[in-house]
Amino acid sequence: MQAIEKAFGLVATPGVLISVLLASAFGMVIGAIPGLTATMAIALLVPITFFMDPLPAVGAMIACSAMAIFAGDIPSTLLRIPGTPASAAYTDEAYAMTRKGEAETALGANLLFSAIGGLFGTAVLIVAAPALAEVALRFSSFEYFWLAVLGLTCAIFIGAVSPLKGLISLFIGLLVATVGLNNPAGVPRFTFGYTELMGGVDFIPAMIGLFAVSEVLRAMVHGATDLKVTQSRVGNLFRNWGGMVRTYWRQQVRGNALGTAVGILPGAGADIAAWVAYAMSKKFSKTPEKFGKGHVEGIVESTSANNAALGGAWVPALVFGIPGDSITAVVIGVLFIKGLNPGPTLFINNPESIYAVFLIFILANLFMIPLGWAVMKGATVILRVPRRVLMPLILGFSMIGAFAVNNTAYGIVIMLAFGVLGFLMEENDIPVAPCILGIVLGPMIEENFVTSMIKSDGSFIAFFERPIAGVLGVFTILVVLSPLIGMALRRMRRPAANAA
Amino acid sequence: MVKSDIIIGLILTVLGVTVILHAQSFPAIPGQEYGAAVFPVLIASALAACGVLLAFGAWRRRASLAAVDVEHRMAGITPAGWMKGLATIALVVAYCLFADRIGFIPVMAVVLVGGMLMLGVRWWVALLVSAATIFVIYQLFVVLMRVPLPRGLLAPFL
Repeated sequence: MQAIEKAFGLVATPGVLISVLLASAFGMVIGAIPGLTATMAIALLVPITFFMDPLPAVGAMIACSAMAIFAGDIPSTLLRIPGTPASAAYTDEAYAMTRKGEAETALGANLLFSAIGGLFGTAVLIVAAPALAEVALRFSSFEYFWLAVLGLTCAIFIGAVSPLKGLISLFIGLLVATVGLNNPAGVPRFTFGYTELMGGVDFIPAMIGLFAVSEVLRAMVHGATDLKVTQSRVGNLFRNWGGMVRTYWRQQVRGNALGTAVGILPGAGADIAAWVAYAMSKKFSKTPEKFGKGHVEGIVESTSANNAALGGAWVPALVFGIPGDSITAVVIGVLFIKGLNPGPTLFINNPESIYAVFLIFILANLFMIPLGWAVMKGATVILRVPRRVLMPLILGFSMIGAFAVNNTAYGIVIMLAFGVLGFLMEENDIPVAPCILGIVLGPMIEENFVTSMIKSDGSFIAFFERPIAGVLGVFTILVVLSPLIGMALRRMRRPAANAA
Repeated sequence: MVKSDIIIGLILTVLGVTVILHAQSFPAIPGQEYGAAVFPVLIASALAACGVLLAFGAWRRRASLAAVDVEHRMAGITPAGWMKGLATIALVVAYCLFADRIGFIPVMAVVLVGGMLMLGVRWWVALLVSAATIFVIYQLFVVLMRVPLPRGLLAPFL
């Protein structure tokens, strides 16, 4: 209890509150601009949080990501362009509502259920994280190795178009993580005599390059077109909130639970949660024929899910230091740089800072309603910000941000290299998110792998001998084999169907 | 996408093999089997294997899919588009080379205005927005966060 009181004291300072509020507004605007993702908002924010104390920095990132995920619904509803990938699952549905003249209802539902979903995810985080931390204390290098591998495997094999290309991205990231002195043997690797590379590839400039600069390059190469806003005014957003909560409470609870569960799964985040929730809503609906034609039911469930996933994603992030999605990957990277190593010991040594993080979560989801209302009212202006002007500005801020991390131009060089790499990868349908997960998790996987190999004297069987490690290992292998199992099942079913 | 997949697959395979060969030069730790080379070699082998799979898969699809192959996204890029992409990279490189001597304000102005002009923004809009952006960057990063952005020629005035 004392820790909770202390946590209130930590959060209720002008510094924390102002940074959370400003980051919220920033995330809201970036998320609302089509083509600028929540991850990009974080990428641009990180260099600034770099100069803050750990708590306001983490608070700013939490608030920014929650707002950006929610705000992605705005262009998705009004323009049929998802502001962030997490909104893509129900873009068509929401836009169909706009065409029917029900944009206010759709946006209102997004706002309300995003906030509720976020609070639900937070509640689960508050209950589950400390309990899991107790378990995590008994983990050895074998369990950590499997957890990290499981996270990466889920990121690649769940919901991916091409697992092979996801794997390629991941291995590129892991390879990048091996550069420098920072390895169990303490040997400089792939530095080619450059002292700058001794410390490894700086993670923040690399991330800015992958998520922001690649987008700028794409706009430059393909040309940036401005968007036409169809609806010019947004009316009463609070219409029928009570009615929606009463009618769709089942969908909402289901969306919350599902979203949180998907979020907790290491490697799966808000995007996947929204897709699964939308599909689930349609499957269980009494009126599935209305789906896709502007029906709010599926929106309620999936918009709850993507924000609930955000809270869920922090469970593995805080307890094991394993990111649930690319946003938490970035935050974990920053926490490490700030010397706050996420993991079960954080709960014992520093419980007040964990509770403070929880409080900020609640705060951010409460800020969401007034800020979301303001942004939706101003949506027609924000959506008209021309991308042609915006892209060079993003480049400028990226360059300054990459420089500011170590105050050397070397950061800008890293940023540019990863910008080009990210551009080439995305143009060839190779996803960039596994790459950033690989860069963040690489050192941890290597350390736990090498330690485990030394402990077990090179026997790979030892990786399955401890009970939890064994379960995690088998589960990982099942996820890897899931596309093959699915294929085999379809093959088996097809002849049966033909026979009937 | 067939041709690009084959090319990427081959590049990745070559990269993987190069890393494996290079890792052989890492010093072994006496009495310790698992040294600095183990993990990079493991990852590089996996990467090379993925490269082979990608290229091989594309090669096998080549005959059956050739007629309906998806148009590669990069095929739609015009020569002007390529030039703009390269020019953007050149602007960033130029910033790295000259910001120290000339100062971040004029060089950043060139980057911002240049970028906007390439995207077809009217020149006076580009100038105004760039000036405002540099002011914000200065206030945020130099005044508030004390990032030592290079002052260059403007040092006496700042």
